[in-house]
Amino acid sequence: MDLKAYIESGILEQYVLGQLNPAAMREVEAMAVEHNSIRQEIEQIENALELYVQAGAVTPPPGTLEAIKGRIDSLDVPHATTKTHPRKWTALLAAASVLLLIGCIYFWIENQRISKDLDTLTSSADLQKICCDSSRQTVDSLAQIMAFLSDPNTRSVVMRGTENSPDAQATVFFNAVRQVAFVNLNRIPSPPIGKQYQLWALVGGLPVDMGVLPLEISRNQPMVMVPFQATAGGFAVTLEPEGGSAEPTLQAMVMVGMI
Amino acid sequence: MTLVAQDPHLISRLRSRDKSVIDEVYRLYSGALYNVILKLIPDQDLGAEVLQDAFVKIWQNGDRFDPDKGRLFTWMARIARNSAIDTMRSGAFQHDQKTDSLPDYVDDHGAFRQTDADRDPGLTKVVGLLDSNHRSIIELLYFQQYTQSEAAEKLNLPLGTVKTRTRNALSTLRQLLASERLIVILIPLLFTLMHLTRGS
Repeated sequence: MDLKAYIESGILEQYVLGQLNPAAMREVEAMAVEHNSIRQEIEQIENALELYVQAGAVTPPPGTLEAIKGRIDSLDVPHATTKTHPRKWTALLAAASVLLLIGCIYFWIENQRISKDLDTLTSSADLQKICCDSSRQTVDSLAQIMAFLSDPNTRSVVMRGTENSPDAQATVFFNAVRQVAFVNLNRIPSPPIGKQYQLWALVGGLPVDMGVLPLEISRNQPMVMVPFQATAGGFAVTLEPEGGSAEPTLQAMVMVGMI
Repeated sequence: MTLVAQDPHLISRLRSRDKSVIDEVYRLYSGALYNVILKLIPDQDLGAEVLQDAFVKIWQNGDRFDPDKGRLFTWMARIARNSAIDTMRSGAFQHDQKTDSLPDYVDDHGAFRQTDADRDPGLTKVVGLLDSNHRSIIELLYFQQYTQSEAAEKLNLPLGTVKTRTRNALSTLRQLLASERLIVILIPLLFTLMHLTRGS
């Protein structure tokens, strides 16, 4: 390319004056990179215009530099502090709320689980207590019976089965000093439905009602307390309608024993 | 005031946003940039505000200036001119200079009414030697940002003449400035020579 003709075409002046479209500008810039003489020519034009403008320089009003510095300072300082602080606080608040919510949910679930566990434990403890209580009652009554049986004043009489129930047997323990009587029902069959055993004391050959015996007899504690009859000469058990009878049904006598 | 040499240190400070550079850029270029702005916005107070805008933009965009693509002043003058044009378009300022008659100073031979004490008197004198036709072209194209076609219409000249005159105006300016620079170099040299001859 004829660089002299290119320079003389006036395109470089147009370039410096900002008269070219972007595509033409890029072309000139490419030429300047490639050819040092073009680059120098552009610089000369720029220098000339710069001097022309400097020749008409006008001192700006006083305070302009300070105003510029103030505006430049305010670009970074207040924006950084006033704008980011509330944003930081809201972000922190939001994070805290989320954490709080998660915490609440966690503790609620945990609370539900623990109170369920507590319910289970409480009911199991209740059961244990009931069990314990009944055990203690058993132990207490056994201890009482033990003391009663080991008392030298306690005497006993064995009631043996009649023809109605040859295998039945029961023992009456009585203590005249303590005025207490027990009957041991360890070897009598369960009464038929609708029937109940009734104990009688034989005083002077006549039966005296001593009450009905329990419908169900515990295997562990077959000893049942009965009223004390000081003048009894013997004891008998009859099978009566449930609830007992005023007079014994002699045909239904199950056991009898005489002192 | 003569041409400010392209100072690589100044440019690197501007590019790295070193605030100490503001004073220096202001000292070197505020007068010339204010000149650029006042050509479009003759109101000095409004012009000073636009100058502030321009400096803030120069500061904000300092890292974008590419020294390989031209001189720092060319880049800053473009920012100043664009800031002025933005203000003119904002509505606060009614721009009618392009459609109405040419501003007075274009034809005014004593074009530099807004003279300044800081200005290099030699430089002013040299620029004053420029033909008024040449000055009109520079004023329209450089300061007023007319296209060459618009300038042709304004000056009632064929486009070709405007193109030739653009190049001639800048060539003449360069020659005048080169001779002025020569005088600047020659005068101290002559003084030194005279001093030497007198001394011997």
